[in-house]
Amino acid sequence: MGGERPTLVTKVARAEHGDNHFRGYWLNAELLGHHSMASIAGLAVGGPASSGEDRALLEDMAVAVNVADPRIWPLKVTRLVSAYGSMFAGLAAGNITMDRSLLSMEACCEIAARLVALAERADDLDDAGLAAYLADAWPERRPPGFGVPARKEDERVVGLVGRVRDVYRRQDRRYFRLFERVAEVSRVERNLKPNILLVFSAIALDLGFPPESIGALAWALVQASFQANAVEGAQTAPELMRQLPQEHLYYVGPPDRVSPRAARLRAGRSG
Amino acid sequence: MSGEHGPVEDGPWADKLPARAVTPTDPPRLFGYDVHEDLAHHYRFSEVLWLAATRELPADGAADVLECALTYLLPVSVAEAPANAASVAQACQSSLASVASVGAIALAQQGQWVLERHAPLWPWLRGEVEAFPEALRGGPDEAPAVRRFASALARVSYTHRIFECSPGLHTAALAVLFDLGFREPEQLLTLWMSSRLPCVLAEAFAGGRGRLYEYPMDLPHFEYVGGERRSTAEEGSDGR
Repeated sequence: MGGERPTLVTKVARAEHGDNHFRGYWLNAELLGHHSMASIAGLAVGGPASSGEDRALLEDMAVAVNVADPRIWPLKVTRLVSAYGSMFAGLAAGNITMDRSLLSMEACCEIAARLVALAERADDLDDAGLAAYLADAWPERRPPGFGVPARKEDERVVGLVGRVRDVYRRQDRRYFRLFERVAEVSRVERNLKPNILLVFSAIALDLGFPPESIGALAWALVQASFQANAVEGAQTAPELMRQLPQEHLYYVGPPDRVSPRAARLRAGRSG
Repeated sequence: MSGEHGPVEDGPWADKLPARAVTPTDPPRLFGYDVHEDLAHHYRFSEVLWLAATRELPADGAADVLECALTYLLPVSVAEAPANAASVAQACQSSLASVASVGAIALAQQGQWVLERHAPLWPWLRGEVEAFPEALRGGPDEAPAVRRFASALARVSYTHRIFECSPGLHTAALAVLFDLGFREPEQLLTLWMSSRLPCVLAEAFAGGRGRLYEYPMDLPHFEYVGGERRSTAEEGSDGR
């Protein structure tokens, strides 16, 4: 035992002389020229090496999820922190905000697991049966994958669904077909609207991503939104982000009060 | 599948991780001093913080001045980016560790930015230049706070010539710390973060978790002006 180095196992990568390994492939010899940022990101999080139409669809997913308005809360964090000049700090802080938050992509893993469980029996369910199944297995008032705040529909869903229906017409996209059924039944029976997490998870399953990797895939593909805000935030570094003017604040904490020590001192002086 | 030796295996790296400040033993020692049996018995927390920042313990009484300066540095309102950002994370219901991490990252960035702004101060404090840097004079709204700071220091029998120069509050506090011996940027950053992180976290954790609608999403407002619409196809293969 003495003198032996502690060792961990990794499936990610290894530096070699002349080339490097990445997720089971040689970087120069096998991946270079055959992959893009989105498909490398997919490989990075433990998904398959996609190609052809699957890769094109993954690219579309990467575009569809990048809503980069700097006012969206995690992106606001990126703006606030990059206001001191560092895009790296802004990027890190915005990403950390996603951890277990209301806006995280971790729900994709749960959604994907539910779709997989449903898929095993979906062919035997008519719409009424599907509605009953969902009421039992997806019982939340607003299950993960549903809910569109502040607008009538999730425009990202509209965009991505349009692409799949118009461009990627293969009939073997089993989970996307399931998404369509689940979305329609949920709309009719429970007045629920699907958000991007539901359709994203379904498509990712069709592309061969294991359920437990889909949250990480979604996170990896939204990085362009963080990067855009981190770069501009650091380049402009506005004072307004470092310090808000007083007139835009209001205090709701405890009222003014005197500490016991100060009170005793004052009493001693006056007594 | 892979070879036995790559650049990592073949490189001249150390094979052990050096511990430089704290012994990885029981009892732990901080720069040589037994934390449990010595420091905890004989020193205040601010003095142990002094040791952590400078590697040496302070002279008796010096911590009174340090604590005064740190207390005056402590307040961070939600107007400032560190508390603002941590509050956003809290509103997003990020994990507690993430709320704290966001605040700490922002605070470190703020500290570095403040220290870089104060670069002209150090030569003046060392007596290498005569003229006080004009950019570091405080505005009239800061003057009462600076007077209170000077008064608080006088109660522990401490004065500094910087109070004759109408400095900003942070400038005055940094000058005091510099005078106490905290001269390196990493020492000052350690104190900046140690003093202000509690307020950043206090502000963030006082907010409702998951209450997105309590955060003013459109403050400040961003006016979208788009970007220059260019494509490599339009420019030609040589980029022109």
